[in-house]
Amino acid sequence: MTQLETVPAATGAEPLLEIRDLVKHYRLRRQWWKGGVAPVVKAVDGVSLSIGRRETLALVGESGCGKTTLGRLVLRLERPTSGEIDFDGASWLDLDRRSLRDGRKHIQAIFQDPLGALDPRRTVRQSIVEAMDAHGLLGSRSARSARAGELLESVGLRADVGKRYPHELSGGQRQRVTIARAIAVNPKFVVADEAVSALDVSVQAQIINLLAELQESLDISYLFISHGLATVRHVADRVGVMYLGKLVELAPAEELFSHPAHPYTSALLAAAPAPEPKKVKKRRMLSGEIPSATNLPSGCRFRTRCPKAQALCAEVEPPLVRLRDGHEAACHFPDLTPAAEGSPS
Amino acid sequence: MTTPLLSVEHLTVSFRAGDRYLDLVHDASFEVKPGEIVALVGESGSGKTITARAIMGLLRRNPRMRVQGRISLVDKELLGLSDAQIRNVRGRDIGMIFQDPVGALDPVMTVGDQVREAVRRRHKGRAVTRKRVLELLEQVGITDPELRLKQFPHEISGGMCQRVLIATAIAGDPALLIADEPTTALDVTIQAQVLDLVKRLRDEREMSVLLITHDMGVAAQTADRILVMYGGSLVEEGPIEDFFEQPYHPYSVGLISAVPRVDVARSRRLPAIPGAVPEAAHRPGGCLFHPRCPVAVQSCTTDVPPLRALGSRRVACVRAEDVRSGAVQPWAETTEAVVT
Repeated sequence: MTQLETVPAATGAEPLLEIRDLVKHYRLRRQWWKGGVAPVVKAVDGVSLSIGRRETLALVGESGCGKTTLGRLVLRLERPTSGEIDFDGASWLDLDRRSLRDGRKHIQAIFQDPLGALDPRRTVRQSIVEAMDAHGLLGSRSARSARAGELLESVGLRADVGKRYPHELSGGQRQRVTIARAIAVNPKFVVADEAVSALDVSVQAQIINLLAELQESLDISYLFISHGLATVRHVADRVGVMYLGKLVELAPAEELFSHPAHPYTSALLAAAPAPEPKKVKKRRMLSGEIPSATNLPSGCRFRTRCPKAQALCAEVEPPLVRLRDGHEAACHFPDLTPAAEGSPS
Repeated sequence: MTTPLLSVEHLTVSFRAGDRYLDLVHDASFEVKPGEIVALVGESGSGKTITARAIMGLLRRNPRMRVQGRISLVDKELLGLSDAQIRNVRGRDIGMIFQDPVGALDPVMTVGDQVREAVRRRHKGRAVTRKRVLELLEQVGITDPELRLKQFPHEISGGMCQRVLIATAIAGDPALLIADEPTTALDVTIQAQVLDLVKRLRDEREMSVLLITHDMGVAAQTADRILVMYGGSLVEEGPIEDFFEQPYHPYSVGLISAVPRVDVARSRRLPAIPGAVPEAAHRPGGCLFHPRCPVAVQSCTTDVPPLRALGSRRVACVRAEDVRSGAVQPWAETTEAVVT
């Protein structure tokens, strides 16, 4: 039962999804009363990363950091301004409409608000069957209906929940239904955007465990997008931290939590409130707020809030560089405390 | 023994559904002392927000709500006040802030006008009012208050909006601030700033705070005392350090261990409480928590456990002594996996 530390090795193997230098800029309307050019929101501004088979890569960051936009680009809900995405060895962005339709069944999504994601006028079973229909899976009606029942059981619901409507279910049950619908088409990859953020803590843990179980049994890779580092620690193999459209740190999860190199990552860790009153930290709180994405600071984007910022930071934007195996950070003055031997037991 | 600032006795809030009443809050009694931060914690449907709204008198306009019991603020009996009197209590004796700071501000009024509106109830004269508004904005840590006065809510961030609301809430110099999920909609780094502000204001003004939150971490980092609600009833109460050191109610134990943490190594399975919070219309008999409880015994299915004193705490569980002595360990087989 307790399969501790069976983190699948992601390194070496060919990645399932590879993102290269992905950029998404939104051009806003020109504000003539302010004169000058139309402002551009650099939502995603040159992100490269890869996700292995059966791997969970978590993207964390505060609102406006571009994590959701990145997820939407991977789902092809939006076209990137530039950059490439390869999925399963082929270009994912070049697929035409027909092949995309086929391809979409390999990449599914789970979102934050399960009530909004389910059709209020359809029963749970109809919603799941519809997903199968859309991808032309399984022949007879009874076969699909039976499969829907199986799927519900595999996400920990009774099969007769299929007869009910979304409003009759609790938040946790609804999220289980959207998960059942996502896995109905046997995806290889699931984008989970704040999938547990709206749920109560006791239920959150159930859903996190469910996602882990499904990964084991169905060989799914996850792009797990979350604003909270704490949740991520329990699901991710690797974690990417985003700030204003850039990846500022990317590392294996345990490494990132025990030895954050980027000051922003350290600040995020320090800001997460631990349920331990004795640990009320004299936290080095980040001052100020996230700058506007239309008017980025020169040099390093984080420098306006960074406790370590120096003159260099205002001039040169630090690239994402490798610090040690699998651990990359974009900072001129990263924290280079040596990595611990092995993982904590 | 200091006299309490706020004292809630046998508060029951019921909602009329057809020909019967459902208890959204059932027989809750607690106190908030002067200068104390009390966290009222619970999951959705636990009744924590309804409790806050009952205290503020925000349920009286709703004909389907019935509020019973006693709510006293020092010497005022709040439930007996007229509408006009309760309006005076709100803002002057009790300040309030809510979860959605952007929505709580009027989008077509400048920040300055909104704070001014709150200030004008106490101060006369333009110059005095203006000075007081700037003072308040500075107190809540707003940079460039002169500039902010002229801005509209959409021009400032969510964290800034919450600061503005805190400024309006403390404009009347209230003895009690009720904060309902004040940081839930904010980013973690901003959350830390706002919680710090709340603590600082408490220290400076000796104001009491009733902090309503679903987040055990926020409660632990901010409050002096904690109240845990489940399904409309208080299940545990105690000083914050004692409580987190060793919770006595199996629900509290489960809730704390289910919180994902940044400082605890990854485990394959996070300890989860099975099932979901029962809705008001479908509450089980006996102890409300028994269907989800790993240490429930026969009597839990029939008898409602009263909230009773146990050491520094009050707890509503027949097995609390056993949990305290370590004879039973709820969620033990799952919790050991998360310890670093």
